[in-house]
Amino acid sequence: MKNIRYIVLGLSLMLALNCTAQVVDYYSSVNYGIAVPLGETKDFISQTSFRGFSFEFGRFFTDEISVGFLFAWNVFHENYPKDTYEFDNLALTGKLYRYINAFPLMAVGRYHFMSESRFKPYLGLASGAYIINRVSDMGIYRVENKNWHFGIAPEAGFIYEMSKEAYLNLGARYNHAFKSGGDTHSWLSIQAGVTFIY
Amino acid sequence: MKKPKPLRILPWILIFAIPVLIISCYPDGPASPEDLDLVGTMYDDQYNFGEVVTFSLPDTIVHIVDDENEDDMDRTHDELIIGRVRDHMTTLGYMEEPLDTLNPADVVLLISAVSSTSSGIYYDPGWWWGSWGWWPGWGGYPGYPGWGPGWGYGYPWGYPIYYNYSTGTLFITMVDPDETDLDEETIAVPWMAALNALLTGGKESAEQRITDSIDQAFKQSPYLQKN
Repeated sequence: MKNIRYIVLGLSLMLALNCTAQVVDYYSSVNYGIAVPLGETKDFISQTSFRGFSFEFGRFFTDEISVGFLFAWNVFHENYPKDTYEFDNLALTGKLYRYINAFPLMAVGRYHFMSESRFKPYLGLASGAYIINRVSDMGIYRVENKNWHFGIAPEAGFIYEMSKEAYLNLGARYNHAFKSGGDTHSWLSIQAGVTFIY
Repeated sequence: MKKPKPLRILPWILIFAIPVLIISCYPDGPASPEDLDLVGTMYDDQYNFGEVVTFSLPDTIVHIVDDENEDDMDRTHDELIIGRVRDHMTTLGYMEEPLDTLNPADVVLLISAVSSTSSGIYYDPGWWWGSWGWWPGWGGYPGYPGWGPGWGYGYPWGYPIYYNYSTGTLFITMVDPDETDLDEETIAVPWMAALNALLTGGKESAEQRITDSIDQAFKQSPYLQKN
């Protein structure tokens, strides 16, 4: 039920803005993303993820303000060589494979500066849910911890106008998924892609 | 008919293309049977291994088979497995006790192999007795013949972690028949090793993997060392 609450919250925020604001433009954005694990996420997997993407759909309510819905997927993984791992009176020897699949589902609001320029920096804040599945595989055994987290993600970046509707997008987002099921996750994602404003 | 502008279609193409790309390069997991090799050992940290002098080793590997399945595991490597376990115990400083009901050994090492992918078999209370009740060596212990069908293993660490396992997993279970719990109907297990999926994979590599895994099980259990 908690999960549904996040989605409803995000959607109603979008709808509320939708009803009250002046309609200007829609936008969609598709990005490739890398993710640098931080904090507890880094303790589990230290390698940077080069497997990630995000897409967004939303509206510009003024030339400066946009609100949209963001969906992303980042895959972190790290293989550990054959070694002995000890836990109290249990010892396990084998190769260890670790994965994190993170799916942010968030509402994102942005303020764009220099709206008259082709180069528009922005600051934004995303808020909503993260579905995060943390997995350790050894042999045929799997330890899995899958949780819905509430999270926020401040971000900064810019869009650069390439043609009338197409913009290049480059941004960085600090993702923080608050504690759920014993796990707290955070990572820095850097995304590059295209944004269409139409 | 109005032609859609290419720029409006492009994001939708990308929306489908990028996930496909990500999925197609999803990180690789284990590739060979060796990558799945896993040696797990557990022990009772309250147990005094220093007091153990002698051990018995039944010369059979019991195959644990589900009712629905047939026992299709071969016994090619049985001698190798039993011999390797014996060598390690002797090297560690324990003395093998021949089968003698008048003077039973301090601990008994039971070797079993699972011949089907299964789960929950540990919670079958009849498992220990059901698999090993036939062994004539039990006759020498003071508790006998109080044991029988319904008796299981007593795990001092509270839970058997090998709840799910696949064909060919080998268990070496050290039991102390002097330490039994009449109420719980369990026999104490001071040490146990589980060698995962060992009897699978190519014939050529099987012997080496068996030897390596048994060696590893003893290597990662330094508390067994006597001298």
